[in-house]
Amino acid sequence: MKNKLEEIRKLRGLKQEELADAMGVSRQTISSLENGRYNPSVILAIRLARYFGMRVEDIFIYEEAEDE
Amino acid sequence: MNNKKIIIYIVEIVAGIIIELLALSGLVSDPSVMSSIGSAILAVGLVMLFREMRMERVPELKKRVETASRDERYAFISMKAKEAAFGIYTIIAGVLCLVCLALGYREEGIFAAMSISLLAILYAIMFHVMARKY
Repeated sequence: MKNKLEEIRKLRGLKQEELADAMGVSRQTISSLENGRYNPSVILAIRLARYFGMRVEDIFIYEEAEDE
Repeated sequence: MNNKKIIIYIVEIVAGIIIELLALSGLVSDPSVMSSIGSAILAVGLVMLFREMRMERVPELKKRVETASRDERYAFISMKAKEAAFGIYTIIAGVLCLVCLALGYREEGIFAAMSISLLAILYAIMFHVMARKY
């Protein structure tokens, strides 16, 4: 799953540490999310979306091909 | 400081010392095994107590440990690591079982086979328990 997390975070002028603190996760988790190495749980995805005042699908892009 | 945790660690340390003393006194049938168990419990208690005290002195470390304990990615990694360890252990025990039986070490071979069987049984039980939960 692709995402625009890094782009959105940088637009808001946030550091990975700051976003991690706000979400109650480690900085490495934010880094892994941004690199696409780790897909968040539904809860974390919703919390991120609410934090940025966006919809989940505005941040995370699900591609049908991932299921195949 | 978390007093509940501190009490548990102190109990561990005291239990470790008592077991160690029992082993040294020669009152138990297998002092070397008792001594090993006592040392292990004592060491765990001391390390955890030291860690708890250090966390109190270094708030940054405390925050990092607390974040790590509820971080979903760490939980995911831990689950994956256990899954991999389970698979690798089964393969190693299986190979060990065959090698031992082929070389005539029957008891060791049976022990390895039984450990695989125990794992498989535990897996089946836990699968049903988890299936009810989720």
